[in-house]
Amino acid sequence: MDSRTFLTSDHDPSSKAVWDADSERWFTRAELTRSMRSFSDKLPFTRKALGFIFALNDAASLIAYLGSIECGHAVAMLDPELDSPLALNLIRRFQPDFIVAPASQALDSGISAQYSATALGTQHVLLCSLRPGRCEIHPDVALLISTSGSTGSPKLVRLSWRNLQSNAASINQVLLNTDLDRAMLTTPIFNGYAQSLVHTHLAAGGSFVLTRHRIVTRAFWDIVREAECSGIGGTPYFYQALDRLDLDFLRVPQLKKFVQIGGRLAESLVRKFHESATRRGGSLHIMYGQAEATARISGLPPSMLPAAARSVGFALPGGRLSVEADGRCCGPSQEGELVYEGPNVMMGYASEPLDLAAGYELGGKLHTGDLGYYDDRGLFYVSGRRARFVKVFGWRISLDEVEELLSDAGPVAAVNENDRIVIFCEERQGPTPDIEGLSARLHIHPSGFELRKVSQIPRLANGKADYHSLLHNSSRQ
Amino acid sequence: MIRRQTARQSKLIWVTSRDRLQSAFRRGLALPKTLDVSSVQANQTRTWDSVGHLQLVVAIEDEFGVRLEPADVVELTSFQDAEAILRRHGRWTDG
Repeated sequence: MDSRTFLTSDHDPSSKAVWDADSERWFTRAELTRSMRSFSDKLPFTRKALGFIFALNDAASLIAYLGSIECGHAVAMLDPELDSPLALNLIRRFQPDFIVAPASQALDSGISAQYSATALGTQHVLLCSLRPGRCEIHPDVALLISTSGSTGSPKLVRLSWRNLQSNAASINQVLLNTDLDRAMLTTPIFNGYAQSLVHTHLAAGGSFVLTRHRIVTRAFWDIVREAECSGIGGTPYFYQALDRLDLDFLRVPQLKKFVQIGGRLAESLVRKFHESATRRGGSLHIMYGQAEATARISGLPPSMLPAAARSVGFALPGGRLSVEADGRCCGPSQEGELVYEGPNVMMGYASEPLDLAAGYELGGKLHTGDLGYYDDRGLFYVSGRRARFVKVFGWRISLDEVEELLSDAGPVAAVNENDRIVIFCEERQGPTPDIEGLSARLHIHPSGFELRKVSQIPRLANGKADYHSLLHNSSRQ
Repeated sequence: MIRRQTARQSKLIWVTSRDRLQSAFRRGLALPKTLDVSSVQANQTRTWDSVGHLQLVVAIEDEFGVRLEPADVVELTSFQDAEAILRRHGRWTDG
């Protein structure tokens, strides 16, 4: 477990590793390794450094990511379209030793004065701090993922090499991934799901495809066909789109392995895609996970479909799921908080540079904040969320941060209603919260939000908004 | 042109296919009511992401009472594309 690489394994160095649709070329394992070295040679640091990568779905961003972590640095993967005040806020807070960003991304002059810039090809730029090494980083930290990417949450999940490698190995075991697998990425690579595809396919000897085209375009599916992808996956939203596009129309018969992540898919669509995957000699894998557990926690064996369509299956090999309520373990069918134990449980969070030095704070045990139960067969079910996060169109958004972004307009309360964010504001208050502006800053389609006016936001004794009564009263109207 | 009765005014007004498509675009892509959307293109409109794309498809279907084929869905990248698709389906009555 100590080897810090996904690439220099027993796999053939001349085998294909990644197709970059932007530059229309394959990178073999050997070429990828070479490019990673040539990137890390540009990093002048003598000790473990912190990097921010504002990553596009292209080879240069991938190489910067893999090159940084494989030579021992810690990297936060971030949205290149992050609203610039939010990005600046993150940079000011953590003062990364280096930044990789699209060349088109304008940085505040106050910040760029503290870095020296080198071009990485034509589309990216590498910024290295003129005063590096200002914070201590635990030697095990490899990857940092934002808990709420589009709000630019400064709360980052700290993942170690052990986390990344153990989760990749368990996922490969469950999905039976081999050197024959080739995955199409459907989400941006700063997203945890895409990273897990990168890690698993590199570890299994397989390959994957990067593109910046959207899933609803003809170009995207032309790439899937021409690159001969065998696997694809995504959020419930991805499957809704795929349903509209019609798998048969897309002429991608070689796609056989389908993975569903990122929240519950409607049962009718689970049945439908299980059937169409089976008909083409493939399978649909329903999986459940969290960034706090690196990526995946559990998976449903396709053989249990369609009967167990509502279940998220069993814990991954090497992990253990249980249900707790009031500090006690629950029996079958009793609802409580899902608790996961395994080698892929994160080290902890980092909200400020000092946190980067901390070790494994959770002892391998994660209280997921998700509510659920298991049945007589030991199959697990997710019934709701306790934590204040919503998956809007597959994007994880912190409700507390939404409230903070709107706080200029007076008191607001943000709640989750069927995977949409309902924002309550008070009728008497001056300016109406700017929902269009919020949608623009978070890059979430405006239909993911709804504004409702109430005479007064109900409060609990501790002064916090009474979310329960807000939703209850407003849904009765 | 077709005659359409608006619910609020309950009187008949003339509405062109172009007007109706404009309103479907504004609804689907959450664009301002005042914006002339006839020059809108997918790669130049922030709200026209994958989510917006499917919302737009639904808005066009609702407005014109038509079911778009998968080929229509992947081809739709501009206002002009939408007009061409509706002509193909015989739902464009402006001539």
